[in-house]
Amino acid sequence: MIPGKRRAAVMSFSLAIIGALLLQTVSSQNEPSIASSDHTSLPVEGDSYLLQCNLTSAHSVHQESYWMKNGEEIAETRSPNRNTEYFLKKPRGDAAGVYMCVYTFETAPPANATIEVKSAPDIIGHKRSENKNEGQVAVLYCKSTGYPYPIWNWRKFDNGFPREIDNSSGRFTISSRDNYTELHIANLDINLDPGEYHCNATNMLGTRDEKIVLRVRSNLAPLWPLLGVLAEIIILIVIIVVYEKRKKPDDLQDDDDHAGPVKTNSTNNHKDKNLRQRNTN
Amino acid sequence: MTKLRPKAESQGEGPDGGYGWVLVGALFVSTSLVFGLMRSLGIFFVEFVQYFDESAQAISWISSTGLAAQQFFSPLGAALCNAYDTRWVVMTGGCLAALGLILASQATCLVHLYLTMGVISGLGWGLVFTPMVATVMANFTRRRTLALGLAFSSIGLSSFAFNPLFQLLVELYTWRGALLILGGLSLNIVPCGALIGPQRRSKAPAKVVSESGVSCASFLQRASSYLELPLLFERPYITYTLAISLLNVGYFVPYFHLVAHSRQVGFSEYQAAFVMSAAGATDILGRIASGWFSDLGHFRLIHLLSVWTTLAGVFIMLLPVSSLSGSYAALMVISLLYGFCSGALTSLVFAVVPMIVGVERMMGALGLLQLIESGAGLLGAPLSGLLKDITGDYTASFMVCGGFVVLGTLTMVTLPHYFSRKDPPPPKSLSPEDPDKGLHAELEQMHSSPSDMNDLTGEVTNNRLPEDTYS
Repeated sequence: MIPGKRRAAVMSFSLAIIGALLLQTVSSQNEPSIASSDHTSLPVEGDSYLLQCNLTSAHSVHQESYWMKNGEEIAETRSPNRNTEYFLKKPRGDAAGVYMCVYTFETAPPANATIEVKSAPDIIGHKRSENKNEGQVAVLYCKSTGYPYPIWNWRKFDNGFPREIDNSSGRFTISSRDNYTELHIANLDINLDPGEYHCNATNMLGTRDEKIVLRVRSNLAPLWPLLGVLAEIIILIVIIVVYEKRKKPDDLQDDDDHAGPVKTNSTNNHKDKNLRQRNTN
Repeated sequence: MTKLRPKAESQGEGPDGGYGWVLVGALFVSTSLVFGLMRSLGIFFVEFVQYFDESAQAISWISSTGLAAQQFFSPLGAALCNAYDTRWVVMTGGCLAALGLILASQATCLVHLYLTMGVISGLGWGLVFTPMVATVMANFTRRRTLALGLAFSSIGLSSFAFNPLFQLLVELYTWRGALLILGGLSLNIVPCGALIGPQRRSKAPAKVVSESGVSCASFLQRASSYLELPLLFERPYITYTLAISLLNVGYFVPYFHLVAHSRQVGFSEYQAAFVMSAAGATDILGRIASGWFSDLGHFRLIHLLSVWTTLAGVFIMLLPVSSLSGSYAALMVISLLYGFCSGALTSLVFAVVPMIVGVERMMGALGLLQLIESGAGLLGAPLSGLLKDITGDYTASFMVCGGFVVLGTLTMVTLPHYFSRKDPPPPKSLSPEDPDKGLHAELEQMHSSPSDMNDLTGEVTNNRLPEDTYS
C-alpha cells in the first residue's frame, strides 16, 4: 500500500472512532439519568418499602413524573417533582411486580427506570371444590400473586400420592398465562376423574401448592330420591283408599235432604249416601 | 275421631274438630308445598341466571307467572269444585303442579320455564289452594280462624325449612335434578287431596235441574253460578274485595324492601337479614295467636281484622321513621310488630268471607277474591320500587304502602252492619226449588260480615318481583 494512503486510512478511521465516541458522549449527556432504588424481594424488613426515583440530570425541561406497575399507570402518582417516591405500605403478595417511574419531557421522549419487587408466589384464587355432572366440562383454575410470574404445574393426587395428569384420552387441557392457570377436563368420566387436583406455582423465590376437589355427579342420581318420594306417596294413597273402603259400611248416615235431589250431573249419587259425609255447604 | 254430624244446617255451620283437624294437617302440607315452595324458588334463580345467561328480571318473571297463574285459576278451581268433587280437583291440581316442575327440569330455554314452572304448576296450585282452604273452613265454625292460622303458619315454617333444603338439593343434584325431586315432593298434595272425602253438593247444580241439553246458554249460566259471578254484584262482597285489594297493594311490600332499606340506612348485611328472619318468625306467631284469639269469640272477626290491618299499616309507616334515628333496636322492634300484625291479619282474611257470603258460596267467593286481589298485588311492589327510584330512599314507598293498608281498613268500615255488636246472620242458602229467583234472593241476603283478604296470595306475590330480597 502507498504509505500516504495508509496514513489517510488510519486518520479517517480514528476520526470515525473519535466521532462515534464524541457522539456517544454527547448523546449520553443528552440522555437523562435517573437514580432509582434497588430491586427488592418481599417480605421486606420493617413494615414498608420506599421506591424512589431521582432525575439527576436531564437536558430538556421535565414536565412531570408518574409511576407504573406491570405496564399500567398507578393513579394519583403524577407530580412535577424531579424526586418522586412510591410508598409500599405493608406490602403483601399482590404488591409484587415490575414498577417503573416515568419522567415526561416537553421536547424529548419520556425516560423511565425499572424497579422489580419480587416475591414468592402465593395462590390467592381457587375454588375449593367443583361439582359437575358426568359428560360436562370442568374448569379448575388458580390465581397467584408474586413476581416473576410463576411456572404452573397441575397434578392429581391419588391416595395421597401425586401423579402427573394422564392425558392419553386427550380430554385434559392446561392453559397458563402469567398469574393465572386453568385446567379444562372435557367429557367428565365418573370413574376416572373425581379426586384431588393440585395446582403448583413455582418461581425463583419459592413454590406454592393448592388443592381443588373435583366431584362428578351421576346423571341418574336424582332418580333415587324421586323414586323414594313416589313410593311414599303411593303408600299414603293406598292407605287412605283402604281406610275409606273399610269405613264405608260403618258410616251409613242419613243423607240430609239437600244432598239427594241436588246431585244431577254427578253419577255417584247413591255412592255418596254411603260414604262418610263431610260437611261441605 | 269424633263422629261427624253430617246434617246440613241451613246456616252452613260445620262441625268443629275431629276429622277437621286431619284436614287442617292436609292444608298445612299442601300450603307449604304451594306457597312455601314458591317463596323458596329464589334458590333456583341464581342457577337459572347462570345457566340461561339471562337477566335477573327475566328470571323473576318465572315466579311472577307462577303466582299469577295460581291466582288467576283460583276461580276455575272453585268452579270445578262446585261442579265436581273437590277431592279430584285437588288431586288433579297436585298432579299438574308436579308435572310442571318435572317438565321444568328438562327445560332448555327460558320460555320452557315460563310455561312449565309458571303456567302449568300455577294452574295446579290454583286448583289446590282455594278448594283446600274452602274445605277446611267448611269443616269448622267456632275454631275456623284457629284452624286457618295453624295451617297458614306452614308458609313461614316451610320457607325456613325449604331454603336450606333446596340449596342442598341444587348442590347435590344440580337444578335439574332438584326440580325433578321437587316435582315428586309436590305430588304429596295428592294424598292431601285424597283425605278430603267425597262431597255433598247442596248448591248450584240445583239451578241446572230444569235445564236439559248442553246448550251454550245453559253452560254459561252454570259456569257463572259455579264461579259465583253474581257475587260481583253484591255490595258487601265488592266492598270487602276492594278493601282486601287495597291491603294487598301495600301490606307485604316491607318484605320486599326491608332488607334493602336496612342496608341503605347503614346496617350490615347480616343485621338486615336478621331483621327479616325475625319478622318472619313473628309472622308465624301472629297467625297462630290471632287464630286462637279470634276464636275466643270476644270480638267480631271483622273488628279484629280492622285492628290488625290498622296496626300493620301504622307499623309500615313507622318503619322508615324508626330507622331515622339509626337505632337498630327501634327498627327491630317495629319489624317484629309489623311481622306479628301481618301474620295476624292473614288468618282472619279468609275466615271473614263466609260471614259475608255464607258458607255455601265460600268456595267461589274465595276464588274470585284471589283473582281480583292479585291485580292489586301486581301493583304494589313496582309502585314502591318506582317511588324509591324517584325519591332515592324507601321512606316514601313505605308511607304510601302503609297508606294503602289504612285505606283498606277504612273501606272495610263501610261494610254494612260494621258497627253492630254481633255478626249479622249469614245469607240464607239458596233453596233448590227456585233456581230463577236465585239471583234476587242473593241480593236480598246481603248481610254478611266483611270479606277476607288474600294475604296469603299477597304474601307470595313478593316472589314475583325482581327484587328477591324476601327470603
